[in-house]
Amino acid sequence: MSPPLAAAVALVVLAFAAPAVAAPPWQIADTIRADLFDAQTELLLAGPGEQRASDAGALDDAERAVSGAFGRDLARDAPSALGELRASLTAARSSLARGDEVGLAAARGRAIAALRQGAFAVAVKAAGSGHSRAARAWLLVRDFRQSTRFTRPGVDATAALIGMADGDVEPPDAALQVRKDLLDAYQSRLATNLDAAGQAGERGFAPRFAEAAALAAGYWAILEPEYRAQRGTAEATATGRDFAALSRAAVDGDLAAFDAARERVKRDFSGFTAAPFTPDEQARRAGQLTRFLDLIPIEYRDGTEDGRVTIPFELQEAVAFHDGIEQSFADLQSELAEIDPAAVTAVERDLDKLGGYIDDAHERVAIVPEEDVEALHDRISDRLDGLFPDAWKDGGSEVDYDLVAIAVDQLVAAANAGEWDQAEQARLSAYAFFEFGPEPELRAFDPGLVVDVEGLFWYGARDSEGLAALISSRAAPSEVRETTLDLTDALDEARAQTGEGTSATTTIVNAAMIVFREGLEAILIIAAITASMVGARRELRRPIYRGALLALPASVAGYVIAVAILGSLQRYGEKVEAVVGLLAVAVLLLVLNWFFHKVYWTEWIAGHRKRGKELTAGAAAGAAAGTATVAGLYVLGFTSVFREGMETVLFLQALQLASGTAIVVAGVSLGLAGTALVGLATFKLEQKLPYKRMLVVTGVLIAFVLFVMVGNTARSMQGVGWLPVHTLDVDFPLWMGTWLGVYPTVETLGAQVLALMFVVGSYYAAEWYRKNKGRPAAPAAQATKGASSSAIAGDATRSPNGSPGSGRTVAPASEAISDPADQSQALSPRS
Amino acid sequence: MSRLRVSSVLCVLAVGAFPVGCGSDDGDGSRTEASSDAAQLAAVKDYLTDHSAQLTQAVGQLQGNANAYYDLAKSVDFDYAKLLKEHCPEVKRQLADAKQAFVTANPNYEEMEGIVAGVPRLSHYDVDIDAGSDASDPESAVSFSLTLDDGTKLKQPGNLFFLTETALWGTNPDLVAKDVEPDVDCDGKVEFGEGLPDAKIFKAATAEFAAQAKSLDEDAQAFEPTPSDALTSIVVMTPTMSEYFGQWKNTAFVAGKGDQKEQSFVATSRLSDIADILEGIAFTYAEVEPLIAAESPQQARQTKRELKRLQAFAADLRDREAAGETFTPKQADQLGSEAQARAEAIAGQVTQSAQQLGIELQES
Repeated sequence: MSPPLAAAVALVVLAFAAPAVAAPPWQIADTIRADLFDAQTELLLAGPGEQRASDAGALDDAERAVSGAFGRDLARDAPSALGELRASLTAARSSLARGDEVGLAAARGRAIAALRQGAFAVAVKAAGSGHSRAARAWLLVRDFRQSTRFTRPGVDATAALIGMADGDVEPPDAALQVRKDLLDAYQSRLATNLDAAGQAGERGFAPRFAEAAALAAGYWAILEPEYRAQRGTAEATATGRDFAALSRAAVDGDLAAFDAARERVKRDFSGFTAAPFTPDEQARRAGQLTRFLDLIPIEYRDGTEDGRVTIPFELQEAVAFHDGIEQSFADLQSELAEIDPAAVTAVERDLDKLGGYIDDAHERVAIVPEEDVEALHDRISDRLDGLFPDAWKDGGSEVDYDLVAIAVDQLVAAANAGEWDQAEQARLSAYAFFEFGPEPELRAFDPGLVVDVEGLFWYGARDSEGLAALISSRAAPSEVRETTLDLTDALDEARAQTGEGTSATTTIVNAAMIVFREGLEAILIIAAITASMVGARRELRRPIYRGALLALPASVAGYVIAVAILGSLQRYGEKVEAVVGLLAVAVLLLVLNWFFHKVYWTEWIAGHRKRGKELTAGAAAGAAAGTATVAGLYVLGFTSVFREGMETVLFLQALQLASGTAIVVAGVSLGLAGTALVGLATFKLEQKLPYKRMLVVTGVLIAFVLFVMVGNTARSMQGVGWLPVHTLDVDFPLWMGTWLGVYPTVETLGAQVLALMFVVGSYYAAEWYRKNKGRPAAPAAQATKGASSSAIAGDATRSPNGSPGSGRTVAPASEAISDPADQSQALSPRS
Repeated sequence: MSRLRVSSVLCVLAVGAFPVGCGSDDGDGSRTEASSDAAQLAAVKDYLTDHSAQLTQAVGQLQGNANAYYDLAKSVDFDYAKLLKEHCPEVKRQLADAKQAFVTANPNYEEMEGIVAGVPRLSHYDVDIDAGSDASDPESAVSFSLTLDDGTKLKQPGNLFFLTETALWGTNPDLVAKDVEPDVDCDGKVEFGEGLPDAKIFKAATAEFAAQAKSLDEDAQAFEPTPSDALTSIVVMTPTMSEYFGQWKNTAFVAGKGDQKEQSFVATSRLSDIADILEGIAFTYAEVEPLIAAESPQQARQTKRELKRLQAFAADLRDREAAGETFTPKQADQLGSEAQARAEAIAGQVTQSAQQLGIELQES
């Protein structure tokens, strides 16, 4: 036989000869567990006195498995767990021999818990020593938190050990994560087994009763060191006694004693969390609690009126939020109790009371006045505010994603039920949670993803119909579900984006892009307005520029003020954008109309009178315009930049929180430099363009700005439910919404058409007025200067001196623009 | 034989004897980048489409029987006493055929339920076909309502298997003919399982069922499963064992005929459904196991072994019951608890595998 072949044979023989040595920990644990269950099943299913074939050697494999490397590792790192494992196997064997179902079940519960306890100790120790292979091998013996549709088993331990193997996580950190993940799982398991034992006891299922109680007591042994560290030795000893009494009562089938012990255990565990939350997790839960709590009076007020339920759906939402509050509060209770136990008790009591109010209203048992709910909310809120450390007072965007998820779930349920009004309400809620929560931050990091999310909420994105369109058309629930799945995917991506740290370079580039993008928008507007201010009217640019510059510090100040009062304005938060949009449109319509009608016209007269006196034209223009005009120009310049400025500051704040001030300032400087360059180029180019062409450009630009602003404002009003949504069967690309404010709904397009009609109509109205009021007609050649204003919104007015005789009329824009004489030369400094 | 080949052979031989790690072991930095192309999941799709086609066929048969039964009832102006008096043999034949179609359709669906219910993009079919409640529980209610031929509308009446089964087996008084003894086998006595469906409801329910089955079949044809779909379906579906065992405990099979709390699961034992569902899950797991094994051989073996054990456990109980063994509620509770514990462990393990592979599990 050749040496390699001999070696092969020897190895195979060795392999068959000593399987237990080679078997990994999970396999040995599985063997023990399965052997015990097989024995238990035989006992369970066998009739009284029936011969059981495998009694004699049933647990041999299990007992053998404990020896070898498995037992040695346990003896080294978890001797007490090994002792408990051996003792429970012995107890199992004797119970089996007696045909004692209950004793065997209890022994099995103890054995399984001892396996978990031992594996926990070995895995944590191995992780702490940097032995990732051993840690991963023993981690496979773990149990998991009960999985539901909404909660997934923890993966932190696995992730940490992978990270350690890859060199990304230090051993102490990995050990901490393993410990934390497992403690969380076992505290959860302890609770589920306590409940299971209680149910089995009530139904008289004795073996299950004993096994579940033994498991609960066994999991206590895993948590005990952490409990002792948090609560002290005396309390830990007392709790240990309660668990011992609990498992003994279950074996004895004494339900009353079990219930009494369980009550004591629950009291012992009140506020105890074995796996302490990280500061970020605590802040997130505190944020959830605060946001959910603040939403309750709003939902209650919207859902009830004068002691009756008006919108049941709002109360459903309130119930969901209250459930969320209870979970978050339970998670924080232990930590808060260390700060002020009396306050925690008071908050707990008030939360129960609040839950009672909501449940009663939801079930129409009793409807308390909304003032009572509000007062209770305020009291809880004040107490929590006093309790929460400062670091908990900003829950971050995670909370908003949670809120979006709750609202989307309700949307699907309502659509399934054909309750389309409710579905639309839920959609608007979800959208508002997104828009006023994580959107600014996300826009700073990934504006394209914002477009996707918004598209899915509204008119479609990623090849899916938008939810607004689907709800409006009463689409099949499966279509709604399809889009909500896409939306969930997009929101998951968004959550990952905003949750991840970013490099300094990325932040600088993002900040620069934001400033540059918003800066360009402001330049566009200012350029559109100032384009025609040439010659004598050049002076009128100054107040616009000053207003624009003033808007920069005002944007920062505005943001600070908004943050300061946001708490009290929060309930109106989702409506703020619509109101601001409406104001902006009103300002644009009124100021521009007034400005162009009056200023251009009167300035033209001034210019006409002082023809040939260009040096004094500026003063004349200022005088002609008057104080009101100058103020109007300030307002115009200010509002044009302030809107963009506020938006910019909001986005930048998200970046600043993520990356720090210095990095953001660097990006802002870059962006401002780029904006300044483009601005200079624009205004220089503007001066060189022929005046006649500039008139056309100005008219088009201003009409464009108005068109976009009206479309976006109408969309915002749909967002807060002030305008209905009637979708059109047109497939506009997403960029048309982003850049043109064009959305496929009757309301948004209708508003835009109306806005344009208003502008054009005012010109024709002016024309009609001119022709019908018998003003003396001006020679066409003299009338050209007012054409720019006429092109936008023609008007006729009197001169500042009020003399009808000195008034002039404005020629139609077409006439002025096509006038080959180009009278602008007379007023232009270049003439 | 080269040294490499010798070691490979040794490894294969040793693996045959007991599971030791031969390839990359857990945590050795040899992790693979998973992508949707990494696993060939065509077999999962074939499995799904075969079953969806069979379901469509069986439900089509069921609808045909329901329509024929409706025509009979209409011919006597829905006077059910007269229907049984004048057309009992025809009624017997149509309803027996309908029951047979139901019994065929049920495993066709259950065997693929692990995939349908576990994949978020298909799971709405599970709500409507097999799992959804009626309108009293809006969060889990079915998405459809039934409009009967006389214009009556039944808002979100419950899932389609529930509607058809409880109508055919007569366990839901709301779905059967009123004020008449449902002696549908014409033998002069009424026994458990004899039901005379309300023909209008039965017709509308089977029409909806046929439409949903057809739509599911079409979507299944268009579905391209990814590793994320496969892992998500296992994680979502596996831990539902306690619910199924809980239902089993309350069916006539355990609680006794007439004492059951569940109106459904009278035609086929819930144990059979459990075994069928696990078959689908095990099939799906087998397709992604190579992917997991490449990353973590021990994890792959552990999950495979526990899944097989769970599958064998459920199949054993099903076979015992089919052979005439009856289980007490106490036994059902104990067995169900163990099944649930194993299932949750499997779901937990697959979740870890997804993490190791960097595969995102989908929100259900």
